[in-house]
Amino acid sequence: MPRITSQDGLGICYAHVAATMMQAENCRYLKKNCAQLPESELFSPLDLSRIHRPEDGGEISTSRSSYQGLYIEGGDAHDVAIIGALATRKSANEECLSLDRILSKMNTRGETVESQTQLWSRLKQQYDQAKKDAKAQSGCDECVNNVYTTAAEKNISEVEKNLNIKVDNVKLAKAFANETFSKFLDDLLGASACRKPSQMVYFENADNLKYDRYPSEGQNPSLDDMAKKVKEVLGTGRPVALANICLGNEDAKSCKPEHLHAVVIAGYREICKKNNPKDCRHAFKVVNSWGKSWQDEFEGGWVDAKTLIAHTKVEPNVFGWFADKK
Amino acid sequence: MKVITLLVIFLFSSFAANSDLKLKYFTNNSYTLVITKKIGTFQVNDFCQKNSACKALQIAKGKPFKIQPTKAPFLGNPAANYCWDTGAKNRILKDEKNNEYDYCVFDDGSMIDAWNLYNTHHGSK
Repeated sequence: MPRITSQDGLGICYAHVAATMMQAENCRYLKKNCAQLPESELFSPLDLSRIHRPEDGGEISTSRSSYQGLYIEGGDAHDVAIIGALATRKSANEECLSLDRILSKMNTRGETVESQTQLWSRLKQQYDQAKKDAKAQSGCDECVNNVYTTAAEKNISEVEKNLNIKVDNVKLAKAFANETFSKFLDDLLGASACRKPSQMVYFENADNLKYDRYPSEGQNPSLDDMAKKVKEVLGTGRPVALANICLGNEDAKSCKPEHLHAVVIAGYREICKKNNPKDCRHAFKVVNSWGKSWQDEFEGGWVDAKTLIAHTKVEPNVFGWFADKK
Repeated sequence: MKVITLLVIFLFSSFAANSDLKLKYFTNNSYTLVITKKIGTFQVNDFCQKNSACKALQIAKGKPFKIQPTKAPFLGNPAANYCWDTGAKNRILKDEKNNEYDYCVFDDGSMIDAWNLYNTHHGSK
């Protein structure tokens, strides 16, 4: 299985799940040892978080540049896997865009969560104002350039300090000149700087793959049914993504969207009592995005399947995995 | 928090000791090597091996801090969030295979594994 990652305090478990699924499939197809890959061959979860949904909720595009900027408030792991693997078919590599580097200067918990949301909001206002000012100067290229330069000078300090992004006035002015705020963020966050082929990881087997989901509409599977399905998929050498794990205090069936978590299931065991071989239970090996220490603590991530499913809002398509088209 | 409950009732309860770990830590725009070891039950950096009065050990041996709810509309990694509650920063460190570890980094330079600290104060199982 791929390396174990950490999402820090951000709501990007969905992107980590997608990165792990894509990495596992690449390793399987290319017959590579997934645990030994250099950063240049690792999908960047941070970059995948940019494609948490199609632009404007429309058609899925194959162009990375048409997607949203960094999104830290949760997303759909299956959608990101589908878009990342089967539509755009690539992401920036970890060498070019990694969370440990982005977070390295953030000094309070607030800066990693609430304040960042406010920062995005302020940047959006600044971007909108610059576009408005530029529109008023249309017909005068030099005047328009001055608008973007002024916007850059006004915002560079905050961008450098709070986002830990190295940028100069010229680059920031160029970012302000982008036609949409999404593209502005792409430039700002370095995702657009990670467009060279050498900065990319490619999903190799996209033409021959589909993304299957379970259960389908109208199905009401039991725990045994779900364990059987997971076991069946794992038997093909591929992991399974599981969304909708409820981490809040509420009942899983009525779980608040902000309490939902997603993981990858990479193994299955049946554990039976020694004195009663018929008394058995299912266990799943989970690949979580809570860092290697969490994983080690649970002997590699082995959890009781019944417990996990009891805490999961089971609805159609909650499981997903890559499968051969034929 | 239900997340705790979820962790408590998972299988296989022994804490797997990390023992010696060589980790990459990104700070001041470059990676530096950090070696962490067990001191008692705590996985801490070499700063604490030389200085047993380091903040990481003092905090770990002290009273638990209250887990502060985040105003943000998502949960994230609870151990990473707990670092901030104890006055430390959370930082992601990487091993030679690029596996990622959350460490609480205190202002005296000491570090402790975030899950190690979280479980010490709030119980893992």
